[in-house]
Amino acid sequence: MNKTIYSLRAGILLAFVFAIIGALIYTRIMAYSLAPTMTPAHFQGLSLWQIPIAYIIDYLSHGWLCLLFAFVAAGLVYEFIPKEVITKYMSSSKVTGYALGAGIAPFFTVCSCTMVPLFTGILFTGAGIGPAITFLLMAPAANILTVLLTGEILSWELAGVRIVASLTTAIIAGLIISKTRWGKSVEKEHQLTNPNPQSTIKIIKPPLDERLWGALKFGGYLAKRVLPYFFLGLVVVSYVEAYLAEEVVATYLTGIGGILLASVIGGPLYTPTLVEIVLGRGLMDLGMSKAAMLSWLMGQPYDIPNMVATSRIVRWKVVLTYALIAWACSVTFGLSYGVLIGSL
Amino acid sequence: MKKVIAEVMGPDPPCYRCTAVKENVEAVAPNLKAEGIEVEIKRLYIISKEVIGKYGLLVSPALAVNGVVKTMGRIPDKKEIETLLREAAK
Repeated sequence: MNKTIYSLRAGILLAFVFAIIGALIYTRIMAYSLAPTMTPAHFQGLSLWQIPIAYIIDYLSHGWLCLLFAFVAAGLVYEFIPKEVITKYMSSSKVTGYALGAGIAPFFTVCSCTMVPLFTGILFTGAGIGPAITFLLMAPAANILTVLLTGEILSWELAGVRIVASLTTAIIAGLIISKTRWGKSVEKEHQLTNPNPQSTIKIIKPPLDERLWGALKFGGYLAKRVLPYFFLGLVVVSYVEAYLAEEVVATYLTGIGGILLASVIGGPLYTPTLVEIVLGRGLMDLGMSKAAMLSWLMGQPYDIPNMVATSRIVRWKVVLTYALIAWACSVTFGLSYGVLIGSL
Repeated sequence: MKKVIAEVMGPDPPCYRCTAVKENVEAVAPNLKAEGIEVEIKRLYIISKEVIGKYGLLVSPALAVNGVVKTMGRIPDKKEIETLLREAAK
């Protein structure tokens, strides 16, 4: 009896997950757009309060599937990724440290509550400050939610370039900081002389139906946390699209000056709520260049809440160093991307 | 009276997920007490040297029973926690 209930529950949950994945693939095949389709011209003639409503309705009618998929995927990945792997191999060698630091970031950082613990854990258990910084910088740029939404709302090309650029930035920053005097002193101070993991860890795996249910619940929790800000962001974006003159965007957010400006405002604007992606979409519709967009998205690693949390552990000198490196890389990559695609 | 130590580890300030784990442990403690198992609940800071020195790198929230990490990165439900604690008391 229990067994039937178990397989039934697991079956229903699996069917739900595959239905969502299937629907998303179907929209891909049919080339059906999941991004908002309203352009500034559509807003003419709407009154002040109608603008955000019209925009959100337009957004939801296309984007609900993408949002649903993003949250389900985030929950599933977080639940099913083997967590023992990092705790086991993190401190084995420097190269593994960097590889894992960058590699695990996309899967573990959908929830801010895992980020700082993992960062300090990497630092304490012997992998050192380099991999820890790599993890920290890679995290916001490459987590599952961000990548999926960047791809769907902006473009998959930008999402790809963003991952490669962030990965390079994160590794460069990690390597540089691990060579600095202040980086080394932080590392020395925090390193435990005798970390003794593993012998005391015996992870229990619950049955599949409970894991699936847990994954969906976690996805739901993420949605509850992110969506209110996301919708607030949509309201702001609708006004930006409706009232910001295209000439302003064309003057300030294109060319080399545009890249510089975008890299500076991207950072402080960043909130862990994906608003920057929607806002980016709005600005691109108004004529912001793709190169400036990349700098804008890459400005993220040095967001303020992130800095505050880490500065308590590694002190301001390290934070300042990585913020500067991240900014410099965001400008460099913005410029080279602009040159490469032939439009700055 | 048997005694079981349950350690809930998470960041500070506590995030929603670790609070949920702790609440689940707290909810089953009275049931177990009636059976003669006393549960001592500790809330530990996941990035303190004490925790990392003892368990190594963990994914929050983590739950350890009698010094052995049993779950991490997810919220075990009440039934599961009750089983875990009862097994540890044997």
